Amino acid sequence: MSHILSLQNAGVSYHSLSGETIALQNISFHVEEGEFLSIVGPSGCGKSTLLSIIAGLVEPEEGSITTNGCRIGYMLQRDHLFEWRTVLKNILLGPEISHCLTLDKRILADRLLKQYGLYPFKDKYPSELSGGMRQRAALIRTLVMEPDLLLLDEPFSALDYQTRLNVSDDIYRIIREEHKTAILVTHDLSEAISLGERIVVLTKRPGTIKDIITIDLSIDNEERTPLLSRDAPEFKTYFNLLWKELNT
Amino acid sequence: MNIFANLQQEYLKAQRFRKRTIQAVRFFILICFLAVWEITADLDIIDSFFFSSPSRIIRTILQMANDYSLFHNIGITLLETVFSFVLIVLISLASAMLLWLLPSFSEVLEPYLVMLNSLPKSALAPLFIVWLGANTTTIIVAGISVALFGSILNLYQSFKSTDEEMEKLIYTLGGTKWDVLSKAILPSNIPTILSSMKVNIGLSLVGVIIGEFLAARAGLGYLIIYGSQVFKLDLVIMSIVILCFIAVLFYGIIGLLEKHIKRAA
Ligand SMILES: Nc1ncnc2c1ncn2[C@@H]1O[C@H](COP(=O)(O)OP(=O)(O)OP(=O)(O)O)[C@@H](O)[C@H]1O
Ligand SMILES: [Mg+2]
Repeated sequence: MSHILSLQNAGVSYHSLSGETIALQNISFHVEEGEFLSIVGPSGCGKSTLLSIIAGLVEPEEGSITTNGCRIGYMLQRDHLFEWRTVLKNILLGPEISHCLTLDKRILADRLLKQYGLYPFKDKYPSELSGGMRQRAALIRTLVMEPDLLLLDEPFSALDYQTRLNVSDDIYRIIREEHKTAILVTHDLSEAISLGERIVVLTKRPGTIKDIITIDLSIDNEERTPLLSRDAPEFKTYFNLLWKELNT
Repeated sequence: MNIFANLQQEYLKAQRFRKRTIQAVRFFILICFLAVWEITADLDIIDSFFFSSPSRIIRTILQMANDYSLFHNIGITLLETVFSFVLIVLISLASAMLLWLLPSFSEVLEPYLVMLNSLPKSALAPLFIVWLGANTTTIIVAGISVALFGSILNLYQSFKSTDEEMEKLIYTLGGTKWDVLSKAILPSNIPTILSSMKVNIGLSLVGVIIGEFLAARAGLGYLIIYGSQVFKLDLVIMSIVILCFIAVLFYGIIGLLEKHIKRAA
């Protein structure tokens, strides 16, 4: 398998008059094509910053990032659906901005909307959607850009527990079906284990890599879903391992 | 089901009744005011030479309507106000956008804008007359000057405080700073733009009247000044009453626009 992304000793700090905040230091890892990687770490350790440098929104001050030229889609912590646009128009925001609003894109948008149960709502406004539907709409908005690598920043954190389980199942399935590579940031350990194939554990600020854990569950990889993963016998072991990593 | 439908009906009925009562009371207050004004003037309790009276105002209106001079003067004031209002909206939108696109530039300009905004604009009107002459241009510039700087500052402040994450979203979709402005900032600030329009229409009327006091040969501001100089106070008070109606009219039009935009959105 080839690396879709690799980071070498990447570091970022934020500067302000009152001082320097080192957000990330000495981050090195790589992501393989088709992989689902989770990132966990304490609040404020630089997880969102890490996604921002991968997406190219923030330049790393040290080290380097190399991609194989893949397209990157970034789903932010909150959905930020525009209330003045219908669901469909929100989803077509990306193509509209990059002036590639072709018929193909419209067909793709319709297909994704149908496939993920939002088609009947395409002319509604975001305020009429439930939390889970909003999250799916935000994901489709990212997918319409046909990214190869998806960055997900705590996409489920705004949802209640029940919805969260369902939506994470949904989104996992969508990402698998579309054959994407994904990096998921979360502070929910169960979520990290149930979705990820590998987990990058970050330390408190300044965020450095504490460990990278490969998740090997005794479930058929083809049938794996987040809900099934939670029932795997190894799940608890990984949970305890992660818990210890984050609390020592 | 039926019970709920009935309750809903009752609720709607109560609301309609409430609304009608409020309108009736409003109207009643107006009638009382006019009646007391008319009666006290007729009984010479107040001096109708100074305070005029509804009937004298109506007589003046009819007189001036006869030779069309009333419509001419109202028309002039309306045109000047609309003209300066449109210019205020366009200039302040464009300036606020420019300030947002160029943060360093706006930081440099901010104290000057604040100063210009707090300056009493009527102090500038005599200067405009000297620079531009006693003509319509001066009056429109006076109308603009009253509201412009406040409007720029208000819009810019509101653009600046738009959620930064929205900005980030546009960048993640490959957008530029211009896309942030046109796709996120402007549409999300439409309520602010509308409420600033509401303030501006009132202020441009104020500015135009100040301008007309000093530089006009026609218009309601001119009628007020002229009337007070020749002691035709009926004329003055009539003009003020008409100004009241104009203010309400403008406010109503922007209210309609607001409703229309909300429905379209
Ligand atoms: N624009 C910024 N300017 C200055 N400091 C910042 C900025 N953005 C983030 N930081 C700081 O950098 C650190 C890392 O922030 P980041 O948002 O990446 O953390 P996070 O791990 O995503 O946190 P959370 O779990 O709360 O989402 C934080 O301490 C934050 O205060
Ligand atoms: Mg974060």
